[in-house]
Amino acid sequence: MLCRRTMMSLVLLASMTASCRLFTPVNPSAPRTKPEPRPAAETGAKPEQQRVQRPAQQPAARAQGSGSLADANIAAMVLASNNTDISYARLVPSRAERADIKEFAKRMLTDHTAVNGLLTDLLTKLDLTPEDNVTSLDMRDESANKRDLMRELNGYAFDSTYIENEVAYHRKFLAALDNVMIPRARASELRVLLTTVRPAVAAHLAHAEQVRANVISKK
Amino acid sequence: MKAAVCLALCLACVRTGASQHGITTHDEPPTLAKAARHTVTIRNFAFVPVVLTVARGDTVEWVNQDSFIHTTAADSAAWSSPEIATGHRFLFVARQPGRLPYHCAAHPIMRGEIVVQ
Repeated sequence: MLCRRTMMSLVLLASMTASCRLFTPVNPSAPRTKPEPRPAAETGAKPEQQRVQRPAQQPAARAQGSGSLADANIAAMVLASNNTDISYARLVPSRAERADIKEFAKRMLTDHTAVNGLLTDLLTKLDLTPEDNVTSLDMRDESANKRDLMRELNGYAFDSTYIENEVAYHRKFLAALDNVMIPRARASELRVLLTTVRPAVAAHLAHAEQVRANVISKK
Repeated sequence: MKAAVCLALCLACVRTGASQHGITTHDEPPTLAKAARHTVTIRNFAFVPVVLTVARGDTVEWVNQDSFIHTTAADSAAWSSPEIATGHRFLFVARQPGRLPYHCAAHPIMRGEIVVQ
């Protein structure tokens, strides 16, 4: 059991690392299996200096589509969503100007990390390994593109872009939970977890809208 | 001697608001015999009940049954809890009559109100 739990943790760690570092450029005309840019770590390295290949199985995941959504796919989608917002929040301390933006980002880090913890525990219990599909890979593409954009910003430009993106991100996550993840989850415990996560995402959305209103009004 | 030291330590914890077994006290427990204890449950990013009416001297306890960290903080700064982890609680003794709106400092859209009669 301990060994299985260790293995599951390693798989999740690999998935989280992939979520944060492996991305395909968002370019509708480009083939989706093209080698992708890896966003620069927060060390100041230029994005184009860091390129990695997607794992070999991912083109197949692209081809799979969302028609045959399994619990493993839903788990990968939740991980991709969480890691996306965690990666956005990590840009904040060195770029944001406003205290409420910094506070909000800190909360996103805490809460989304907590969701990952809940999911990790459940996946271990269910002996389930997250499996990417087209949706989770698209989430990573989109987040990479947005991180590249935000990485270039500072001060008000960063604050307004970040919080606008947070509103859009949580709205999309909420819709995915309501329309795809919760209705299509097969394992009852996964459905319960997703139902537990939903109020958090809804609260984050309302909070983000509140902060956005403050940012706009005090421009 | 040993018992006296234990008693002193316990009293110190209560007086300083230290957390013992997941309980954080904001004030000393009431000594009035009639004082009651009321519970506000924190779950699904909400305080339940949203509005709670209590008598002066009653104790309000917030119990976090959510999977996330929350706090409880009066808008008037009458109390402000530290972060309340899952399964932990925070106590406040209502001494002044009035309406006390409050919120979660971590998630400001979570709001509630204590009405002290």
